[in-house]
Amino acid sequence: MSDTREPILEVEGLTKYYESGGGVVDTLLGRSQEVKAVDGVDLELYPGETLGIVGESGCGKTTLAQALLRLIEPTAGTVRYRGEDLTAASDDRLRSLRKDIQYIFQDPFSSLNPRLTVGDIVGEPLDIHGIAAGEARTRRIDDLLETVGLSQRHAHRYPHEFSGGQRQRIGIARALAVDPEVIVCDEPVSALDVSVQAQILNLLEDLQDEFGLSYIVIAHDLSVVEHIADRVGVLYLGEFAEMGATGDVFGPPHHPYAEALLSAIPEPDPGWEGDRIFLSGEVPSPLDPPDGCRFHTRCPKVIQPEGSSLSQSEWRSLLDLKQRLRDADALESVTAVAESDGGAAGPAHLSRSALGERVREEFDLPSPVSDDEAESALSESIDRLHDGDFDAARAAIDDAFESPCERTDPPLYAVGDGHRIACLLYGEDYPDAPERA
Amino acid sequence: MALLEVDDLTVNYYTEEGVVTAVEDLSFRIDRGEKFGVVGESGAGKSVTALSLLRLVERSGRIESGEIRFKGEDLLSMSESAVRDVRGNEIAMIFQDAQTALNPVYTVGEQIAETIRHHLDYGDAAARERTVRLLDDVGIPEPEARYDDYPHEFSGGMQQRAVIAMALSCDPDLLIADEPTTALDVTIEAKILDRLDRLAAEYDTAIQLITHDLGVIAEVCDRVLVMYAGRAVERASVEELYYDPKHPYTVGLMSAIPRIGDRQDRLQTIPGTMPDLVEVPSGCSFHPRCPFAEEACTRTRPQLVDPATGERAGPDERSAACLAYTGDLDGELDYEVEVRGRDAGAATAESEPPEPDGGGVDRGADPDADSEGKADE
Repeated sequence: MSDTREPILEVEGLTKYYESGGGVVDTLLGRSQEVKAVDGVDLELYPGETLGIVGESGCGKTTLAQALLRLIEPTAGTVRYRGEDLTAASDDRLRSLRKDIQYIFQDPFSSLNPRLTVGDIVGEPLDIHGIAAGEARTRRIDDLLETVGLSQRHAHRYPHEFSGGQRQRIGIARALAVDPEVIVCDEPVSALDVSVQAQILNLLEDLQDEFGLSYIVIAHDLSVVEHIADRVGVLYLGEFAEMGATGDVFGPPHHPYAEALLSAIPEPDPGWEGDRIFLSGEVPSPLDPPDGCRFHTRCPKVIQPEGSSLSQSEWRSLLDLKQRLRDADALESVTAVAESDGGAAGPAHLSRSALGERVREEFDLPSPVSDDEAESALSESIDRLHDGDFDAARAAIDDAFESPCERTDPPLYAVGDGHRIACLLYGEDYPDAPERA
Repeated sequence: MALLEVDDLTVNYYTEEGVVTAVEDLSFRIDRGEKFGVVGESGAGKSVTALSLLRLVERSGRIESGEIRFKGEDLLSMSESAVRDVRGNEIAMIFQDAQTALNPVYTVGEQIAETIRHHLDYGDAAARERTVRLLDDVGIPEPEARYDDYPHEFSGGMQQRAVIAMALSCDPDLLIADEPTTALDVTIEAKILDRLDRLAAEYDTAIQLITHDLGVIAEVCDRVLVMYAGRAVERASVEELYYDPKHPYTVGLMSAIPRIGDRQDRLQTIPGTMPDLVEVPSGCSFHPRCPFAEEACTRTRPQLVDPATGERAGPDERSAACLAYTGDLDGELDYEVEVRGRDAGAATAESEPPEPDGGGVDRGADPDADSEGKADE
């Protein structure tokens, strides 16, 4: 996208924290926690383009989409539409601004009022914004239904009479009623069957050509986003990990998270032999996101400290062990399950060498690991585990294995024209990192 | 002898709107250790097929006719208690929604151990040990600690793994997985499919994988059955199906999926939607949506035939249910399918001519066909 044009929508530092579940007592005692659903997101949307936003569940996609329109009130940050700050707008002003920015919901089954006819559903925004009444209103509704591939005969029916694909068309007609400039689509096709999904995606593209719309499309399905978007942002735990033109994001250089996501898509081709990247662990809780780079707890390419000569997989395993130890209070947490050892005894009764083997087995670590210093720290830690002293075991490992990724939160580094990646590997300190393109 | 033999299975549901034939004249075979895929969109009859295999069809439904033989024994004529021994023990099932498949008031470990004690007569300690090992096998970290967790303490991916562990707990010969990864993120899905694949090999378990996702089928399965409106429309090995599909519906499905690395502007679509099963179209049920349909298709119901010879095909042979292969059509199926992986970069599946009425298939080409027959006056 050319940066010479003015963005139609400009978002800076958008943040949404939720108060976490605690009850009244927790609140009184000051124990409530914040869920950092969206944490300081910047983005621009240019006229006529489609910006795709992808990420796994829980990464903040829907919160971001709704905070953009103030469907939920953002905690901080600004959203400027044609230069005007939405977050500072009065309720009245916001209402009239919503004529220009519309929203299409994920679930076509719950986003339409079952008691209204399709005509009234599509006509409601016309009434609210005082756009058309009487004969003109009817004509406008008929036009809209036709535009999305329904017919005026459908205006007098109720939502339950329609299939999922048709309901999504009704939702689109409702969004179009006010002649918007921007439409935010939250998982517009995820509830639909493959053949219907293609119809809706094509419809969205046709409407964009016809009315010059700009879209923000939220989806978890990367192939859908790749198909429809001009630019893509990859969201991880409320922050963008990568942002750029679709072709750039889907090709190298990659953020390690984006790379793993791409490798995981099941390819509809039985002959395809790709290398899957399996991430260790699960998405961490947004209640307490990791320090430094939020992805470092799972990243296969997490950076080693200077002078280390470990293989990358050993390094990853050692960090996994370190994380596991952090909240461990029993040996079972850090040892492999034995094939069969009579069950009852448990790892506390193992000899020092047997315990060492079981720990290494659980984390796929060779004996010894390929770096002498690392090996001595590891055996020191296993010694302490054998003594039953978890704090000492933690200390032995914490000091020895620390990645720069744990300390530094990487900004989005520019790696190409409009292509930015939030990973230290692309920063100035690592000019010759192997992943750099 | 195949592990599972299904012959001419027909399942009806008796609803207020009338009799719905959810599955009609369905036959297939699954061999020992084989990974068999069933693919189709919602309403195709995939899940009902799976439920019938365990005789779990709900009360409003009835298995009207057909035979289901498991290891040569007729499941449909077995007593209820005999079927219960087969369920879980020899045929296990993984449901789409792990959250509802787990009992919220028992710990995860206890639920699995209970199955083991019940079916395999294990003692408490031995069942616990086996459970922990199973949890470890399916990739749940710290299995001893997680044994005593309740289902709500597990994430979605973990719950699905626990369900897989439960399904594998008694070394079943057949594992029926109904959309096992549909509710999960791709990174978790990749891990679970990989586990499933390896565990099936390890335990020599056959898998019947039911899904709408052609990517998942391509990754896991050996042979595939494509269903449409309650009937099998094509049966083939996974390579044949993806590189040389024979039924127009399969062709349509293949071209409708957006593929990574394929920057075509428009997706090919299949006009309309799956018909309402109360009113299945006459003749070939796909004819209202088929670009190659002719007059004959509205009258004659096609049988599954060998696409090369037009002869009626056996229940484990490559076959497609289209009149084009029995010489009943004047025209020919004129399409091309080209699959190139994302590494090759360029364009992929093409099928032409896909649009019988000259373009605009999506935008209200035929609102009636699109309305599932429901919204008609």
